[in-house]
Amino acid sequence: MLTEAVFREEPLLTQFAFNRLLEWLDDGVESHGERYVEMRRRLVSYFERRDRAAPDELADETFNRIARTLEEEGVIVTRPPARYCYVVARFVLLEDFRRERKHVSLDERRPVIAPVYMIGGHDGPALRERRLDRLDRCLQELRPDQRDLVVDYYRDSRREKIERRRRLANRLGITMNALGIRVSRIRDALMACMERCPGP
Amino acid sequence: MPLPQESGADDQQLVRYVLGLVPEDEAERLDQASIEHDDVALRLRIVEHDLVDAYVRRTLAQELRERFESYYLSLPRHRDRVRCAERFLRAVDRVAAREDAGMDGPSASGREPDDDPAPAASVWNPSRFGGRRFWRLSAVAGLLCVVSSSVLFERMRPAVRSSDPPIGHAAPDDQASARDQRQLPAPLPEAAARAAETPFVRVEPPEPPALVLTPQTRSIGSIPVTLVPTRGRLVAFELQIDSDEFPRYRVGLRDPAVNRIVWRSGWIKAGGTAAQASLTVVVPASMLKLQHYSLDLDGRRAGGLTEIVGSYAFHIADR
Repeated sequence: MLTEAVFREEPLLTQFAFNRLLEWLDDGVESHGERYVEMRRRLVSYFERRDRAAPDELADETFNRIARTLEEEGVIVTRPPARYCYVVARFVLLEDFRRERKHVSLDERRPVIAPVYMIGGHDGPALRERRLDRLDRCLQELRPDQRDLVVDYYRDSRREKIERRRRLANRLGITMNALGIRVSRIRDALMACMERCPGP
Repeated sequence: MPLPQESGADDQQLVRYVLGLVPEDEAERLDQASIEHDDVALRLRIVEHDLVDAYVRRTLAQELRERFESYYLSLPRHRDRVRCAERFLRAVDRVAAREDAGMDGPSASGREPDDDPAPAASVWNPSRFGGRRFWRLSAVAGLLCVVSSSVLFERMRPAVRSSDPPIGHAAPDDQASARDQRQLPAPLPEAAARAAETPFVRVEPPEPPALVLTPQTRSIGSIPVTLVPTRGRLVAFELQIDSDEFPRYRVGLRDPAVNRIVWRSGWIKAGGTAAQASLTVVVPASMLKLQHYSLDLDGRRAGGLTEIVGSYAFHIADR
């Protein structure tokens, strides 16, 4: 399953190897790359939570190694594919820890006192308005039902927030969890529209 | 390790996980679940969105907020995420405010993208309520309730000191403020005249009537305007609040020119109606110049914890 080959650093994937990786991730259900995007997002979040300085690169390294295994072994026995992604990611993480110990003191990884963060205090008024206008345009580009859903779900309603969301879910005939998933995806799409807005 | 869906307890666990508060073995289990299991991965995403939004909305409990600031915000990528969430929520609130203003008109889905946003709520801006008779009647009913209870209160309480703190000096501490009772509900003219006849009331009725304010939604619509009051008078403000979730509130008058609180009320209870909670404060006219101001609203919980509730912008204009 896991050999020394996993730890070699190799050039980027060929298109053929990448397509094979996508197919393996899909596990028989064509997703048009969505499964890859989702899995990459999970890996990036994983490496972020583990305080890695370059979570995107580590996620890519994880996929590179899986693709190489597919190329060399032909098949990966561990199932489901997501489990294998975790196994390889964990090795990549441990390797990154070891690399870091050689160069950086462990105490410096996460500062004890975070920089002072002021809500709303970082943008000048003009820049803030431009960004708001841009996001406003992104909101308008949504389908009306998507826009209404996002606005209703996220608007500031304090104590009524949970009840409002419950009513939304009931109206759509879905669970609260499904509603959360649906609006999260719309939100991430809006963030992507805004550019340079990383999602969890 | 799939987690039950819509489970509040498990969301709490995920919040602790995001904030680095779980033991290492539990963190590893959640690491695996977050990659391997679709439902956990998606739930985690929702939980993190909600956590960031709660921080931006300032609704996190103090302990969680401190942990969020010290741990979560220590990573640049997370700070970017919070900044994006701020912008996102501002944009959402802006659209929501426009939709609220135009509820009697075409539905939101039918509205053209180029429609101008509705102006901010103001008692001198009837288009804010448009054909919303219900809200207009509710506002009138709310004012009547405030007035009638104020008349009863005025008859029962002792004389009120009319001394005002000079500009640049914050109000005294809470105990003194509670005694001073600077905030007064805005009475109707006849009720005020009746109250003025009693030996126990020294305060003249404010003019003009209370300016109704809603929390800032960062809309680009107009800021509510009140005319410069006659010297020595009081200016009343009715602050509408989304929900009455604090036992006591305090209002601070912020001068943006110096970015300082120049006047503060005592700790007061919210009033209004079942449909619309509100607070009424009366600010001495001597505190106000021809410029923008904001009224910053704090709420105090039973344990003494104070939280920022909202901010209400207005402008003092010349007669």
